[in-house]
Amino acid sequence: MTVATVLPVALLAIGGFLVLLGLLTVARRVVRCRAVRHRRALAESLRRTVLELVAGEPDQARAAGDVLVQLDSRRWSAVEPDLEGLLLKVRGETHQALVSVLERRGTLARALRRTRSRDPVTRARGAEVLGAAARTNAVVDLVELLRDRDPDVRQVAARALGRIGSARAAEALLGVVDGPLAVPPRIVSTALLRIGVAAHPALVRGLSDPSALRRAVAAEIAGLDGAIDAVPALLARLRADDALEVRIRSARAVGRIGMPGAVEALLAATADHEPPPLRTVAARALGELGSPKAVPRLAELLEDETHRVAANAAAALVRCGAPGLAVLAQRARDPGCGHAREALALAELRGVRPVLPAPGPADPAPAGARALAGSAAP
Amino acid sequence: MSSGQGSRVLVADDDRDIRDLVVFKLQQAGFVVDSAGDGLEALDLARSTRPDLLLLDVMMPGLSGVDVTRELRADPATARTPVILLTARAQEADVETGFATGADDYVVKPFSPRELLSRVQAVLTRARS
Repeated sequence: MTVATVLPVALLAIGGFLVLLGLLTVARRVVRCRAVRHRRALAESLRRTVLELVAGEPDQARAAGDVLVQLDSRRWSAVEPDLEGLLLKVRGETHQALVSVLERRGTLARALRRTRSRDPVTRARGAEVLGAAARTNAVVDLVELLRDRDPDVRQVAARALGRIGSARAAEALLGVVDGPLAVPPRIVSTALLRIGVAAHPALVRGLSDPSALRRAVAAEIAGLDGAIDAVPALLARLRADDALEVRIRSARAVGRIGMPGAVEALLAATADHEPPPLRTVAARALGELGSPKAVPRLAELLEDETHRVAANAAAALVRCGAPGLAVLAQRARDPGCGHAREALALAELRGVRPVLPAPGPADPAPAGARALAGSAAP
Repeated sequence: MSSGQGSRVLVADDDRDIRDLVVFKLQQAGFVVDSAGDGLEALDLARSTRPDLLLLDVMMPGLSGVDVTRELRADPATARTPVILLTARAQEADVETGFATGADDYVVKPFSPRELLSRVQAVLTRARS
């Protein structure tokens, strides 16, 4: 046989193979589409039962739950994704009803097994369902998944633990903000905030963690969640942490929490030798505390060479009430103290006005300050 | 239960699950319910059916629930129709804007259908008094 005779045969065979492959692909797609349509039709036929479960009267919901639990496997496979999807959309007794059906039908036990699958998508799906169902008995398995080799699985596990909300989960979550198998701090923070008060002991311990990033996240979340029990540890971090970021976040946190005992530490953090980013945040936090004890130092800071420090000090003086406003009104007469005038103007927009003594003839107040005079302080 | 006594409610949410379950719950309580899958459809329906109350998702394609509320308040024919916003926890800041544009109440997702029904009844009672 020569090349001239073999070539057409070979081309014909390849062509035939490609046509067959194309037909098989089309056939497979048609079968899959039909299966999806069939599944949708089945799920649609059970839609009313699902709605009775989640939105019906108690008797109706119980009956619907029994119907769903007794479905044959084909119908159950069709309706199961709808029930899983509803878990994140309802709460209260409706959520309980959904969880009960999924538990009786074995979905939750299967989700737990899925977290050990070799396939990352299956592991993530299992974690998602367990989190949506708030399964406290899944915490150990989900904590394991926080160290999964797949980053998406780790993130799903972190979100799921946030939804479940156990103290143990908080400890584990804080431990994965850094390292080779880290979960982005944003996701960990959201999960910790969801856990709420149960996470506070872990946050307090986290403030002594050797990792600066963990201490910083713990400080930030403690402030956002108003963790009063974390204030002593936050003040210790604010005074003497090696990492500037931790000191800054601690200053912000004690301001947000609003404990009057934090004034001294915050005043110290505004000292001239401290880094400007820390002094900026500390000045703002003093305003959140609103203590008259901070007024003299904040008045000094109005002339600080760092723009943000001076601007925050002016805004903080407004929040210190009458004594702070009086200082601002007096300083507003100084042409070089634009921060005072700006803070007073903003305060006026919010309806806050200082009480001012009438200006003497030799000491005329500028127009802005005069306009603010003569009305009640907050 | 038929506490709705034929009052007309318009439910607008692009999430079919939420829309269906709210419609089902309200119909069971005796309300006449219309539904829309986006803000523009909701606005059209609100103008044509004149509901007694609107339940609007904040995040919808086309017009958001806040935008729809603003449009309704600008029209004398619908300016006084009570509006309840449905919002995700993360969008609670939008609720401030919603109240500023004249929404009467808001419900955070995920919600309990029973609680939602109570809110609808309370807002309607307040609007009628």
